[in-house]
Amino acid sequence: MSGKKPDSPGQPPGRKKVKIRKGKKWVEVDVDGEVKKGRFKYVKFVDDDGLDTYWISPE
Amino acid sequence: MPLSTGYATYFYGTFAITRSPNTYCVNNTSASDYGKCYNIETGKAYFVQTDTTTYPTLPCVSDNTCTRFTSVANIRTLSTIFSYPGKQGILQYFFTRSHSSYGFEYNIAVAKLVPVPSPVPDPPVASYVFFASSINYELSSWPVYDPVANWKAYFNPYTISAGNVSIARWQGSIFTPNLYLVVREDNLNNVWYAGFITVMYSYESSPLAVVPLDHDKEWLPYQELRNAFGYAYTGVDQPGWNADDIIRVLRELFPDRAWAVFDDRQYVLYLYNLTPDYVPDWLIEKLSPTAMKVLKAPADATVAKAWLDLLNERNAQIPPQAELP
Repeated sequence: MSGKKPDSPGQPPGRKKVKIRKGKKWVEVDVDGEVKKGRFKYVKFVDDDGLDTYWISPE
Repeated sequence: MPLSTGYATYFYGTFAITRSPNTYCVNNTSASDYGKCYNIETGKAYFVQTDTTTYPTLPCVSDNTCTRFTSVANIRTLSTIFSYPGKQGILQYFFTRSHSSYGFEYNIAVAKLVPVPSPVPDPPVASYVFFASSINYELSSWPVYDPVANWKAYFNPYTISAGNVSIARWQGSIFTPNLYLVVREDNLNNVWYAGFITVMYSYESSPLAVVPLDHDKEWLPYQELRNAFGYAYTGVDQPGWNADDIIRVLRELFPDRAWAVFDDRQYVLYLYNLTPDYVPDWLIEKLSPTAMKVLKAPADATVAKAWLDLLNERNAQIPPQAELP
């Protein structure tokens, strides 16, 4: 047992969904990757404005 | 949040370095030279006269030595020293020297016709104006020496041909997004005042342009940017108006160069010709952005690398801060 949670059915392999807090709202985004910078961890996704965005990870 | 110091100086008829300026106006309606101002050095004095029938014009208006108000005011706002919606400013110091037909009243905290900076709402409310308390003023002769106290006032340290001299100095900290230069006219008519006022304050300087500018190699953009939104040798603390404006200017000036803009409202670090791979950890620690957005991915890695190298080089010149235990 690796202990890793399998992807949910229908989700492309390698992509996971996380909830991030944008302003006062929590929104769910499809994550393309993660980047660690200093003490912070960012999740990568394409935001509504079409830009590659790295948002501070909620985890 | 980086802070910058601001400095505002106002000349209303008198000048800073004149030793004993004899600036005054005549408000004795019986005098033949009624409405005339004398010894105006820099700027204009103020004259309140609401009766436009008897006095359709005043000599000081005709000869450009005063600004006339034709309505009375309780608290009159002469100028907005700063107004930073959504941002913080800190009033730290002011000095004001006024000549007026009136003077201090009751005690020096209730000054009349003395322009003072005040963090009042707009329109002003009288109760906010006189924030500094004091029980007395000092009788003194000119020149007066700068005292070690947060509020000092001097009444008539030198004499002028007509009216009074009031000097007030204050230092401290008042946090406010808006600061105005106001005068308590107390609805008086037929009064005049002149003055010299200097104000020091601090303000939040971000959003920031993160682009190390080299003035030797790129003089024109350097000069334009410095004039437009400040300059810091760190390459980081370069304040501007708002993030969108900074981005627009940088796109125009540096279309082929790497740069970043930090929006302090949203805590978003915008990257141009950069990806997070090129953003140094110390910059992330300094700004703590909630998000990074890639405006344009680097077509050429050397451009991004050049930005990183220059930023690191500048950062290395800054003395390290003491580490927390």
